[in-house]
Amino acid sequence: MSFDCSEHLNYKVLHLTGEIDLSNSSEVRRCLLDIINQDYSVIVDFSELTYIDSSGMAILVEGLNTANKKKTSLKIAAANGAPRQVLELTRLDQVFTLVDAVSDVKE
Amino acid sequence: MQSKELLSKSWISCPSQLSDIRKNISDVCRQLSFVEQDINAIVLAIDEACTNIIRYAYNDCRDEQIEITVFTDGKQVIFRLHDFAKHVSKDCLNFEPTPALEPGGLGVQLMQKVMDSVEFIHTSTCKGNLLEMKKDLPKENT
Repeated sequence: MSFDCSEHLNYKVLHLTGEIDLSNSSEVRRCLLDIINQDYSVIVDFSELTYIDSSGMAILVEGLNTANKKKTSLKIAAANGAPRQVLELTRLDQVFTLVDAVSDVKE
Repeated sequence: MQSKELLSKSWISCPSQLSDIRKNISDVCRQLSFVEQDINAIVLAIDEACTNIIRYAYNDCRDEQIEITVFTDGKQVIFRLHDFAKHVSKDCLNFEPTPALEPGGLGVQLMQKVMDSVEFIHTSTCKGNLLEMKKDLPKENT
């Protein structure tokens, strides 16, 4: 698993690559919360993510809760395949704002 | 039909092993002709069960054992996950779905959703905990 950051409009984009599970989810948590705590809105880019388990989803839920408290936002882009299935199985697809691609976020 | 063993392997209770466990489960499911979506879901359910063993049964102790046995009776594929920790309460599988913005219990929720049955088998001869999960085989395979 690896991750890196870029910018799109006023958003920080967190690009996740590979597999997120218990072995590495705490690294993702630190990075995500660090961005949100700087009062940025975030797009989490799933386009290169091949797997995420519930420990990863829990981090995104924590991120969303923190963003809501700070009146910023957290969106998920390009969730397909197995990660999309996890969102649907947990019904979190109804909780997060999902977009097809980072570039689809216009404002 | 006689049961057929498909996998019997042991891993240490370290999160770094999860990737290899997923690969083994994925290979078994492919052998049984599950479609990609079902393979993803089954792999996720087993991963969640192993994660729970590491976090809660072994309290993040990383040098314990997790034994996984997979076999089929011709109608279902049966996954047995054996740990050697103290007995855990069967109640940990009885969950109330959590509100969407509370992350707790997601793993158990996923296991229950994906599998056709999930239960602990407690026997006097079995040390630790034996979690059994069953999934109906794809129609063309039964």
